[in-house]
This record gives sequence, structure tokens and C-alpha cells, in this order.
Amino acid sequence: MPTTPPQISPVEEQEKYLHDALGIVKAQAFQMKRSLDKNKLMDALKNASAMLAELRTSLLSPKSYYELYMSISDELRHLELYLVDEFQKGTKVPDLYELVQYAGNIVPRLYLLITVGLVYIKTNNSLRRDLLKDLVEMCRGVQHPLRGLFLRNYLLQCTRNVLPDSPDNEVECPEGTVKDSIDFVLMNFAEMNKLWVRMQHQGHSRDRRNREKEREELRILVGTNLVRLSQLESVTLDKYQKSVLPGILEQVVSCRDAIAQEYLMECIIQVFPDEFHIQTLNPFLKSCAELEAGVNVKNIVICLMERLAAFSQRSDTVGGEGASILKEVQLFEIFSNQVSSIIANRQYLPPEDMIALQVALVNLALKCYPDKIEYIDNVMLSSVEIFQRLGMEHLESHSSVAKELLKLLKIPLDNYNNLLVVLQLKHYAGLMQHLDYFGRKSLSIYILNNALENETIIPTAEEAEQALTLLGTLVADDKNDHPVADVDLEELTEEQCLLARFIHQMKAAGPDDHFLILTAARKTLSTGGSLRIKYTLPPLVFQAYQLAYKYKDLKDEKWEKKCTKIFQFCHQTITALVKAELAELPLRLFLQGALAIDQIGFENHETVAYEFMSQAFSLYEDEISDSKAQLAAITLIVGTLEQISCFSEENSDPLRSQCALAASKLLKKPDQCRGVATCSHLFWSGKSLTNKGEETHDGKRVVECLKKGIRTAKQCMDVYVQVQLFVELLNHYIYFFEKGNDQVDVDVLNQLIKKIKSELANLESSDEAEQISKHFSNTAVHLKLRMESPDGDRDAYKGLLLNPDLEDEKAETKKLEAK
Amino acid sequence: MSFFGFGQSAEIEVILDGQDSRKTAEVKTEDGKKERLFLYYDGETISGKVNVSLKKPGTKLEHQGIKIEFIGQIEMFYDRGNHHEFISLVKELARPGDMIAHSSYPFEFSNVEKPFEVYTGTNVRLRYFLRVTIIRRLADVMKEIDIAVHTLSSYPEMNNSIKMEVGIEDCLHIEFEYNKSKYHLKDVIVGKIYFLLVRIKIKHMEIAIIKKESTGQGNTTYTESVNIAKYEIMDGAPVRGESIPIRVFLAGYELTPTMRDINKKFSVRYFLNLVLMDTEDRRYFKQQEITLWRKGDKLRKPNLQSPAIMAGTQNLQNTAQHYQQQQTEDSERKTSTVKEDFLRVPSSNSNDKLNSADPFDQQVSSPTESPENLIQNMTREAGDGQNDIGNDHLE
Amino acid sequence: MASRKKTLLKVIILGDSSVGKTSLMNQYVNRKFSNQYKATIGADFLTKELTVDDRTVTMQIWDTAGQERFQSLGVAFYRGADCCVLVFDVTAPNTFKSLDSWRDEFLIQASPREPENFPFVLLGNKVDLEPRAISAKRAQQWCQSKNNIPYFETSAKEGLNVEQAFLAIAKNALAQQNSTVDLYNEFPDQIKLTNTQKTSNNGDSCAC
Repeated sequence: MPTTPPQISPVEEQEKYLHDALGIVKAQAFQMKRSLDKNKLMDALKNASAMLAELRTSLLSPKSYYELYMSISDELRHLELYLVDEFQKGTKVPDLYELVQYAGNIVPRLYLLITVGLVYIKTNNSLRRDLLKDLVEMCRGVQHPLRGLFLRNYLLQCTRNVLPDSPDNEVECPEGTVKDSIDFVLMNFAEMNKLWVRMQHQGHSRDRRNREKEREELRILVGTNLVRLSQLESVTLDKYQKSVLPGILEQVVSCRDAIAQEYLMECIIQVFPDEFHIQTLNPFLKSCAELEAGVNVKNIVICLMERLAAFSQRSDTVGGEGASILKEVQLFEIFSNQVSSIIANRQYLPPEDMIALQVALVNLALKCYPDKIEYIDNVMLSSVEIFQRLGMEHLESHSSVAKELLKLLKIPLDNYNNLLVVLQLKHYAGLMQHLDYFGRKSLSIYILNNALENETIIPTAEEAEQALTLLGTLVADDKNDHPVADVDLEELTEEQCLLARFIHQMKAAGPDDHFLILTAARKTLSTGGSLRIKYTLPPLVFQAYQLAYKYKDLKDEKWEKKCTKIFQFCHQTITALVKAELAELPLRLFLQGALAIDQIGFENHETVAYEFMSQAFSLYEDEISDSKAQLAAITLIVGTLEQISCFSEENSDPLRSQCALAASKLLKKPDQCRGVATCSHLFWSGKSLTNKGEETHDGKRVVECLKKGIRTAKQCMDVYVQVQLFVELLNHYIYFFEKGNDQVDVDVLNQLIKKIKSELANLESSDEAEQISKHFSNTAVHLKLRMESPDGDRDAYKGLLLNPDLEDEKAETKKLEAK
Repeated sequence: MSFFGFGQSAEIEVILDGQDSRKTAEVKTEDGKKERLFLYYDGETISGKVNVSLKKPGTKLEHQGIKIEFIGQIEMFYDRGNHHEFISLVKELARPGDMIAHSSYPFEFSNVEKPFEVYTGTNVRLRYFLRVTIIRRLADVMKEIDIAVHTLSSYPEMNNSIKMEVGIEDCLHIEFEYNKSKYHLKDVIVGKIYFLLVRIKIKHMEIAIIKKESTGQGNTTYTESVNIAKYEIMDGAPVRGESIPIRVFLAGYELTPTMRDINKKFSVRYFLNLVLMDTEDRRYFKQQEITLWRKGDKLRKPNLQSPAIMAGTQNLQNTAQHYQQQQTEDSERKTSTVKEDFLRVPSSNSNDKLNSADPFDQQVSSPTESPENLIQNMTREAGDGQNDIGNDHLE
Repeated sequence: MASRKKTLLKVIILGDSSVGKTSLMNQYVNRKFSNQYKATIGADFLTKELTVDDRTVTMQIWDTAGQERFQSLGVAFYRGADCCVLVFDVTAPNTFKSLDSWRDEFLIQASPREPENFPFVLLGNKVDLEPRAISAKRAQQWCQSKNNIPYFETSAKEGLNVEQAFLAIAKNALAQQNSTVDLYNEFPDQIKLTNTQKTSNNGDSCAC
């Protein structure tokens, strides 16, 4: 033995040491086997002892030592085989057990003692119990952790098949019973565990990492004890409950070493059958609560839960014993209780682990008891309690505890894929409140996507309200902790679009209920501020319009009143948008509303429709200032008005004139021109009560509008624009011509065509010019087709000149103006 | 026996009664070899016959008488001339006269007292022999025959266990226990070491059996120590609360009964030396005398059916718990456990190498390592020193 | 060496977790089967004595953990194996897919002298279960591609084919051992060298 303090040598030297040692083992083993062949037992024992002396080294790492140990124990097997053979043949090998004890060094001595002891047991059962006790006791002499662990592992390996495994009885039995085996293994286990734990405290603290790595490597040796116990067939559930498990747990808890505790608890879970675990959850989990601060108890408990959940699912398919046990044992209750006491007892348990445990609980509940939603609610409640006790609010969204909580909250969604089930969880929303703004928002989006993907319909006002409360971060600003500062508009748009889609899924089967939903939803959504309501209120308005149509179809007793109410609701809702300084959107909504009102035609609808139209007009007048938007708006208004037939002259006239007036007041000439031209249609196809819903066909006013258009066009400085406008106007004229407006004749068309043609010729060739002339030629083609068409219209086109003489151009234009 | 190669000469042969069936014992001779001698016990009659054969038949042998002596004597190797005979018995076999033919003479020393056991040590030898002398005028014809004597004892009436708490303050405290203080030569030492305090890094622990032979008296006492056995009982560093079993089979070692003040000439005593070595190769040891005795070995011996081969552990289970229980009791009443100090030896002096050649070689005698040397260089930790056996308390 | 009466064969069982390695061994050695699932951690062996071609052999059967994380000390016990048994579950395709990596891992770690000739035996276990995922044909094809590994379909639960499979394993192991002994008959010479060295070092050991 070297005099320098023993320490593990560097890797490169390891191989050399190992190689040398293996060389000696090989040589001695060869000699040993030769001596055995010659029946020279004493010589063989000497060789065996010399071989075993290699195990006294302090120079090898655990893995290298293991390799050496393996090669030696393989060789010892030959010695054992020989001895068993000799004993069975009746050859007395007197006092062999004493003889090997003369070996001066303890490590070889004990390996030999175990080998010989095993042979004795195999050949003579009557000393078995005492021999086992003696061996396990004598091994105390090796206190060096590495050497001791391997020695005792050898003891375990050798005795594997000879451990007494008969049930206990009262009769004294020298062969031993399973009780003796349990005592034997538990004692060996305790000693090995002590050695293993001791490694942690030996040597310099700077080597700690390396030491812990070595300990991790060696753990399997300690765990093998538990394997032995699990292999004993006479260890019934009763025995396991009463002596095996308590024995193991006592040792595990009392060793106060985190590495050992974590590994051994996992080991218990792995090596013993599920049937045992189910019946011993309480003691096992109770011990978990007593483990050291550094132990990842969460992993242990989760590991057990996962195993049992898998077992439960397996039993469900296979049936049999397991399933019935599961029914008897209140798996969830036990876990739930024990988890709370673990959380209560373990001060240093990080909050994320507490929540991770809850995650596991929920998973367990879902797997074993999928129909018991109250279990899940229980978990939510206890999680809330945890946060309350810890005083934790607004968990920072990137923290691990927030991540765990997020995971917890997503599980019910992922499992049920039904937001309604989640809404049944009373404590879900409360628990969600412990996330910070960003956490809640990200969960809200998750919830939304889930609801959208699964097309979850929200059928009651109450649920709608609940759902919107859950989605609070998306619905409105949080007065408390929303960082108002920088809103990412793009992100907001995306979120609000999701929310808007979701609003469409809020619908009850009955229209009355549906209306309640809408009212409730508006109440909540209208708090969202101008940025949000422009996305969230329109779907409500549209739903309301649809609802009104529904009532129209149903025509129940009070449908007209209900419709009035609905449109009041819409009016209010749209007004809210107006108040949020929005213009175009409410304008469109008003117009859309007016259309709906017109079509549904409930009592007093004209007034309501007029109100909607006038609201649209005032929006146009007061709020829309951009010229393009103005044109677009006036076009819309005209379009809408053209469709509506419910107005009496008294209402329709002012509206039409207002439109024409507004159009002519547009800022830009081209806009004026186009606006006025559009207005012309109001006087032709527009309907009103006066005409009993028929079109007005006021040709004169139509032409007035168009003429005004031509005048305005001429005022345009840009020739291109001018020509374009002429072409457009020509199209209007043609339209009315074809519709039979007697104020429009071929002459008018000819004049216009001639004018266009001459102007076109002056245009310098460019893309714009190209486009305009294309437009014109298409128009010409149309006319040509009409002229050549075989049906009766042909005559109407007589005299139309598609290729006029351009010289008259100026005169023609003047004539046109005169008209 | 003739100086001049002429004249008559005779050969003497001693035939002991029942010698074919008599047991023999191996006894070391002065030059270290071993021979087998007929074995006698105290009070046993030594009888037989002496045959004298003439080398030249037909010629007479003139003699002044023939006698046989039974002698027990102690020889000091450093004082060759002086033999101390503690027994000397003479029987006359023939009166002076002439011997003509081969003659045979029966003899008997009846119930002869043989108080000591034969012994061959480093400085001293105790032997018994029969000496036949044909007394002649010029040169006697003589023949000596050594016999072996074993002293048997009965089971000692008092045989307490040895139990002691020893230590070095704030460094190491252990309690050890050997199950007996008196062991017969085929006995098993069973014991345990319980660690009460460990603040040094122990590498291993062994038990040595030391034989101390002292010769002479007063100022001229010589003491020689020999390590009879070195037996590792623990590998590695224990922690507080560990209890280590001891089991040493004595039969395999070359031991004699303890001899105290044999004829005021010498003593042979045995000690168990418990040695702990730390990682810096410092040694800590404690010697404890044990008495060895020879048991009438009519029924040697445990065979494999007997649990004696596992002696000890069956009663040693859960030693730790046992001990802790006892500790609490101890706090109430003082136990008989003696508290003593360990002896510590600095590393410079230690050449203790544990890779002893062959564990099955029982002749581990390494006089290179004499405990006395160690003692001289020892550094002793604080303590009253009263009970330091290691110091020369030997007569 | 061959003169010794008893032959010791070392056999290693490998395969993914829960394919039934432990159950196969228990069925063969103890004729017992349990539905309870206990994970094997580390490595452990049982021995069984049997007669192969009039020779008594002791087969040391090493059962191993299918989950690698349980082999914290490595797989030194592969060394010196005489035969390697690969097991998969005929109802679990993944366990069949892993066979290649188990085989490769074994050859790397055990480093037998002639990897291409080292005997493997393949067992497709759990044939009592439905539905079946790996056909016998597919398994046999794999075996053919690996130098004609013998293939057995077994059920540890019903004891089906277990005895036959292990007999084949023993025969293959025995053949392997004989061939390596023949191959290295220079071995004793090597030892003699070491031997003389040894005695000169340990001169005192002979002095008794």
C-alpha cells in the first residue's frame, strides 16, 4: 500500500493501473484454476487471496474498480463451483470457513469468507441463517467506502439465490425464513448506505463535484439491496407494509443525505410493484415530506404518480386485480393530502416545485379519474392557497414558477379541449390572477386559440361573462399592473382579432338568451378602450343585426319591440365607437344597420332607419375630413340610400339632396365629379314609399347631376384626369341610356365620344394614357356590341358615331355645355 | 565414543514404554528447526528401557556403572556454561562391572513432576531430557533424549472480558472489548471496537499478537518482543458510532502458554496490540496482556457443524444500538470500563507495510519491528500515563 | 483447463425496458412468472445447471436494466460473456428498432476477440399478446442480415419456447468458449512468463 494519501489518479493513469491489476488477476486466476485441477486447494486459496489483494487498491476510480471487481468475481465463481462440487461429492474440506479467516488482510479475507460461506449454505442449509448473520456482521470491518460498497455488493450478489424465502412461522428454523432475509438485507443496506453517504464528507471540499459524480456512479450498488428485497417472493404486501418499507424509509430519512435520499426514493418506486405502492402511499409520501432540503421531492412524487397513472391505464385495458385496487384506494385523495403536507412541511421547497406537484396531481386525476372534474378544481384551489400563503402575486412571466403555473392552467384545456369545462372550475380564474399581466395575456391567447380551434360555443350570458373575465387582459386595460407605456399595435391587432372571432362563438340556442349574451358581452367589452373596441364591438353589432333577422323570421309575439331594442342596443354600441373618436367604422355600421332595419321592417322602422342614416351623415359631416375618405363615405351612403326603400318622400328627399349637395361640396374637382355622378343613381334607381317601393326614374335630375359632372370635369387642370372622368361619365350616360332615361339620347353620347376621342389624340403616350384609352375602347366595344345586337335595341343606337369627325370637336363641346 | 578407535564401544538406545501410541509434539530446536518429540505431561511416569549394544561383540565393556537421569533445565543462550537444572533425577541401571553382551535395562521415573512446558525462545530454552551414561574411566558413553512436556490447565475460574475505553483527547476515543482475558491455545478471540470519537483519518486497524520474552533479573533483564501475528481487522476510516468486529483464531499461530517467572529465570507473556494507523502513517496503539493456557485437547475441535467458526457475531448484532443503550446507563453509574490513553507513534518510525506476503503463511514473525523501539520514540498525548503498559513495567 | 469437470458459461441478456428480460430468466431458472412489473436496476445474475451434449455446464445468466440511466457504473459485466441474448417485444416496434444499437453497444463494450463471429441469439418475447407489431419474417430477416443469428419466439408468461431458446443459447455459448480456448492455446506459455516473475517477486510466499 503506498504511503502517499490515497486518492484517485487522473484518467490516463487509471488505465495503466487497471491494466496492471487485471494482468495480475489473470495470472493468479490461471494459477488458481490449475491448482484446482490438481486438487491443491491450499494453493488455490493462496492464488485467490493474491488475486483478491488487488481489490485493496486506492488508486482506481469507481468505474475502474468495478471492472476489476467484475473480473475477479468472475474468477471466484470458478472457485465456488469447485468447492460446491467437492462438498457434494462428500470431500470434507475441514474448517474451510475458519481457514480462510487466517488471511491477514481483511479485504481478501472477507471475499473468501463470503465465497466459502456461500458454499456452506449451498451444501448445508442448517447453518444458513447464522452464516448470513455472520457474514453481514463481519463485513463491518471494511469501512473504506469504495471497498466496503463493493465487498457488500459481492455479499449481495453471492447470496441472491440462497436467501431464505419461506413464510414466517412460529417454529424456530435454523434455515431461516423470509424475516431473516429481510433483516439481512436491511442491515446490509443500512451499512452500505452509511458508507455511501460518508463519501460525501471525506476529502477536500474542492473535490466535491467529482466526489458527487463518483457517488452517483456507485449508487447502483446501494440500490441493489432494494432489488434483493423486491425479489423475495414471501415478501407479501403485509410484510412490505410492516417491515420492508418502514425499514428502508427509516434508513433513507435518517441518513440526511440529499443524493442518497433522492436516489433511494426513486429506487423504491422502480423496484417494487405498483400493487405495493398503491397500498403504501401514505408512509411513502410522509417520508418524502421529511427529506433534506436539497432533495428534489417533486421529482420523486411525480415519478410515483406517473407510474401509478400508467398502472391505472394499463389495468383499465387489461382489467384484473389492479383495477379493483384502484377503486378501493382513494389514490387522488391520498396524493392530494400528502402533497399538501409535503408543501406545508418543506420550507425550502421552491414554489415552482410546489406548482409542479400540482401539475402532477392534475395529470393523475385526469388519467385515473377523467370524469371527476372536482378533483381538478381541488388542485386549483390548493394552488391558490399556496400563493396566498406565500404572498405571491403577479408572478413574473419568465420565472419558473410562472411557467409551472401556466403549465398547470393549460392542462385542463389541453385535456378537455372545452373551455366550458374549464369555466366550471371555480378556482381557475382566481388562480390565473396570480400570473402577471403578460402571463395572463399569454394564457388568454392560449384559451382563445383553444376555443377557436375546437369551435367551442359559449351558450349563456353567464359563461360569456366568465370567459371574458378570464380573458380580462385582452378585453381591457388593467388599471393595476398593465404597463400602458408601449403598446405594440400589431400585436394588439392580432389579439383583438382572435377575440373578435371568439365573440362570434358566443351564441345561445334561443334568441332571447343570445341577446342577453350580447348585452353582457358589450358591458364587458365596452370597457376596452378605443384601441380594442374597434375590433370587439363590431362583431357584437353584426351579431345583433343577425339576431334581428332571426326575430323577423320567428315573428314571435313581441318581435317588433325586441327588434327595436336590438337596434337601440346597436345604436348605443355604435355610438360608443363614435365616442371613441372613430368615424368610418361607425359610419359603416350605421349604414349596415339602416339596411338591416329597412329589410326587417318592424314597426316604426322608418324613423329608426332615418336615425341611423342621419347618424351616418353627421359622422360624414363632422368626423370625416380626408378627401378620399369623404368620397368613399359618400359613395357608401349613396349606395346604402339607394338600397333602402322604407323612406317616405319627406325623409328620402332631404337625404337624396343632402347626398348630392355633399358630393358637390367635396374638395377636389375629380371627387366632386365622381360624387355627383354617383348621386345621379339615387334619382333613378332609388326607392321610396311614395313610389310604393318602385324606382324613382327622375330622368331630369339624373341628367342634371351628370351635366354637373361634365362641368366639373372640364375644370380639372390635369388632362389625363379630365379624359378619365369623361370616360367615366360616358359610362354613366350609357347606363342611363340603356335604362331608358329619355333625357339621354344618342347625340349626347356622340358629343361625349367625340370629345374624348379628340382629347385622347392629344395625350402623350404613357401608361396612364394607355389605360384611359383602353377603358374607352372597351366602352366603345360595348356600344358596338349593343348596336349590332340582334334584339330590339338596335334601333335605339341609330346615329351613334363611334368614330366622329374630330374637327367639329369644339362646336360639339360647346353644344353640350349649352344643354 | 572412543577416542582412539580401539577398545570396546557401545551404542545406547532408549525405548520409551508405549512409544508407538504416544503423542508427539513439535518442538523448535535451538537452531530454529523443528523436531517431533514424545509428549509427556506433569506427574506422568516416564518409563522404558535402555538397550546397550556393544559395537564389537565378544569383547567386554568395562564400566564404572550405568545410570539414567531425567533432567529439566533452563539454558540461557548468552550464558552457555550455566545451565539451571530445576529437575534432576537419577536412577542407577547397573553397578560397575563388565558387560559382555548386549544388555537391556528397564527404568522408571514414576509420577515425575514436570512443572514447566518446554520452550525455545530468542534467549532462552527450557528442555527436558533423559540422559543415559555409561561411566568409564576415560570417556563416558552418553545418550540424551529430549522429550516434550506440555503443561495443561483447566478452565480458569476467573476469566473476565477485557473492556477498556482508550483515546487521545479530542482526537480519538474508542472502546474495545475482548471477550476474555485468558485464552487457550486453540481459542478464538472475539471482540469489538466501538468508535466514540474519530477526528483523525484512520487508514486501517490491526491486531498484533506480541510475545515478550524476558530473561534475567533486576538490572540484567533482557526483554525480546516478537510479533507473532499481524491481523488486519479494519480497512478504511470509520466514523463515530461504528462498531468493528474482531475475530482471531489462535490455533494457526505458534503460541505457547503464558509463562510467568519460570524458576526465577524467565517469563514469556503475550499481548494483544491494537494498532490504528492514520493516513499520514502515524500509529496509535494499545497493548493489552492476555494469558494463554493450554487446554487438555482431548476433544479438539469445532468442526464445520459448530457455530464456533462464526464465534462472536451472533452476539454482536446491533452492537451500536447495544452500545448506545449502555452509554445512557453509563451516565448514571460509573462502569468498570477503564479509561486509558492511546499511544501514538510518529510516522517516521513506521515501516509498517501491510502487504504481508501470504495470508496463509502463519509464521509471521518480523522481529524488525519491535514495539519497544516504537515506544521509545512515541509522542504521548496528554494523560496521566498511569496505565501505560507500553512502558517497561516488566520485571 | 478443459479437463475441469464443470464449465461455466456467461450469458448476457439485453434489450429495451419492459420487453421481459427478467421474466424470461425467471421463467427459465425458476419456472415462475409474475404479472407485476418491477424495473431492473443495474445488473444481476442467476445460475442454472444444465446438460449440453453430455456435458454439465453452469450457465450464469445476467439480467440487465433496459434503462441506461440505471447502469451508473457502466457495463463491465459484459466482459467475458460467451453469448449475448437480445430480446424485443413483438408488440412494441420500438423495442425491435433498438436491437441494432444494443448489439453494437455490446460489441463495443465487451470487445470480443472476433466480433463478427460472436454468438448472439434473438428472442421475440410476448407472443401471447395482441396485437402483434413485428412479424416473424421481419425478425428473421434481421437475423439473416446479422450473420444468421438464431431466432426464437417466446412467451415468458406461458413458458413458450423458453427452454428451447436457452438450450440454444447454452450451445452457442459453449461453442464460443471452445473456439476461444483452441485459438489461444499459447496462453499457458504467456502465463509461465508471468509466473516466474511472480515467484521471484514473492519469494517469501514459498518459504513456508
